[in-house]
Amino acid sequence: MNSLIRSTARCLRAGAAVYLPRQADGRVLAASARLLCAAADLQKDLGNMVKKDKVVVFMKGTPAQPMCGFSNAVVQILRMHGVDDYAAYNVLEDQDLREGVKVFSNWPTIPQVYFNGEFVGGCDILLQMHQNGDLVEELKKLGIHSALLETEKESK
Amino acid sequence: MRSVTPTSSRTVTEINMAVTADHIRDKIIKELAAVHVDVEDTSPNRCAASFKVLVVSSQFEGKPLLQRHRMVNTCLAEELKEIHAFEQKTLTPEQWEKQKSQ
Repeated sequence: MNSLIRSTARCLRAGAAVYLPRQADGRVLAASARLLCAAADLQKDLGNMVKKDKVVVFMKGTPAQPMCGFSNAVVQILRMHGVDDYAAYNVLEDQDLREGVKVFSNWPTIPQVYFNGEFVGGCDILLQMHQNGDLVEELKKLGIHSALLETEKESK
Repeated sequence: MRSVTPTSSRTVTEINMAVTADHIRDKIIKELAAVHVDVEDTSPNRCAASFKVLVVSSQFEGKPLLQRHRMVNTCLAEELKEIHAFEQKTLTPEQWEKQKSQ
């Protein structure tokens, strides 16, 4: 299903080049130049997006309705630590974002997690950080008190 | 007169099969001097190549998780363009021994 959507998007993009307005002398503005400008803008936007909030997640679907097992795992882990207030961007809504964030982070897959504008990793890394206690520490650095610390206190 | 047998279709199939578990395993062993590699093909169907790898290498010593994962990503940069989902676990030989005994 995804490949069908992807190839449709590719066709539409390629088709757009055919309808470029011609200038007075008949020259056609290069579509590739415009696409490059849009891509560069996205990279700049991403730079702002990851710094705007303490915790930023690029995922498939939304925290209320994740559309992928790995994205869901990230949402569940954050929820376990009581982190409910974070910026989540759904890459399935925007194919340019989906590809652009991979370039921006130099990371091949989704989900992607950022803490204080710094790339943390994907689902694997977040899970390992959760298991070895690093996640509680990193959240503390962000000024976020992990909910799991509360349960530890209660059980003592 | 000799008739030409079309081999192009077979060649295309061979190229598409390039990203296999064996190919990934061999590349990791070669480029990361891994002492142990497990590659699990978790592809749910032909359309979504997915892999889960365990890489054990002394090159991971002293390196934080993110850096280790980036090393593997760099090693498989070409393959990852074709791969839909990718999970990885990166251990030093010492960590791996400890895990095995648990």
